[in-house]
Amino acid sequence: MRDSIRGRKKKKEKLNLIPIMDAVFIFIFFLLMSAQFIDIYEIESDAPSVVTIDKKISNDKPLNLILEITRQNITVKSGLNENSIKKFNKNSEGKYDFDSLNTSLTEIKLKNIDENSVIFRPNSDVPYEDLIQIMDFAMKVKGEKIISATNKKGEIVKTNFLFDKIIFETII
Amino acid sequence: MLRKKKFKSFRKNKEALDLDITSLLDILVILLVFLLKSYNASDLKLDLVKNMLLPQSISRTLGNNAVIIQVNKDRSIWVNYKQIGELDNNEKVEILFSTLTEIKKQEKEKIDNVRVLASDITEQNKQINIVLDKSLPYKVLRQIMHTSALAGYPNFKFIVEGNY
Repeated sequence: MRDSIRGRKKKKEKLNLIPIMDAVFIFIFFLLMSAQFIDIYEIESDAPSVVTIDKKISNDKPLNLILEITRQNITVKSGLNENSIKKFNKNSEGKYDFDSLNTSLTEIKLKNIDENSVIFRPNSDVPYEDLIQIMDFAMKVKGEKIISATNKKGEIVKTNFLFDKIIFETII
Repeated sequence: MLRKKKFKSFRKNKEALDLDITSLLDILVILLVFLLKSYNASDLKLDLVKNMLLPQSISRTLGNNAVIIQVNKDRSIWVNYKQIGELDNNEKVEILFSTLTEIKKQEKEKIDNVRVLASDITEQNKQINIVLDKSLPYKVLRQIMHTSALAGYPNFKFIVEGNY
């Protein structure tokens, strides 16, 4: 008698999976429609433009960071007179020294923590692929480390971005 | 009597027919995990044209829907998946300029008809998605950027492939 009651109880415990299966099936169609098998992202850059600023004109010298890019090397320049800071030649494998470039830009960022613009001045024959790589290393600190420094107002600024506002010279 | 017996046995057989969907469920769950991994929340849907290899980048900024210019290895230009011609040596690419101006005109007419959220649409109208083959030189990019800026698209978005 007891066994038969137990048996009945066990039978009742069977889960009804049909609604969840329906939901999963619909979900699969939705995901199949929105699936993209290449991960596509974007890098932003604006055309240089002339703007009128209402703010008080600062007496501080502008950073005016410039990356002069040729097929052989990258030269980092700064200031209104475009003083050359460092030059990074391609190594024996024919690749730019991106790590040194990133380290150098991190040092500049630490001294100018409020700055986020960099001007790119590439030669006509520089491959697009190289430009994208240079943008990657100019935009973020290597390993996405967070750097901190005190700005001109005396506030501590923490960031993992270097110069994420990229402007190409000689567009217009 | 005999017929009743036969019918009963048939009904019994029918009840015994129970599908085992465990394996199907397993497949669905695996498919679900795979699809969830490849899900992209971006509203930019991109179909690459032939002879096109995207450069790789560490950028993780998702793309937005805007006019798409594609230039492949053979220097053919596509605007919104429609081939318009080939690149010449001039800094201003006339065929691209006329196509973009036409699109801009159509978009302006659309904005005039839809007055709600017009400011948002106007802001998005300045964007342009640039899809270039990775082997092309900067000169091509400069030509595209120059022409786009002249046609009223000064916000450039370089479309790249994510690398891990």
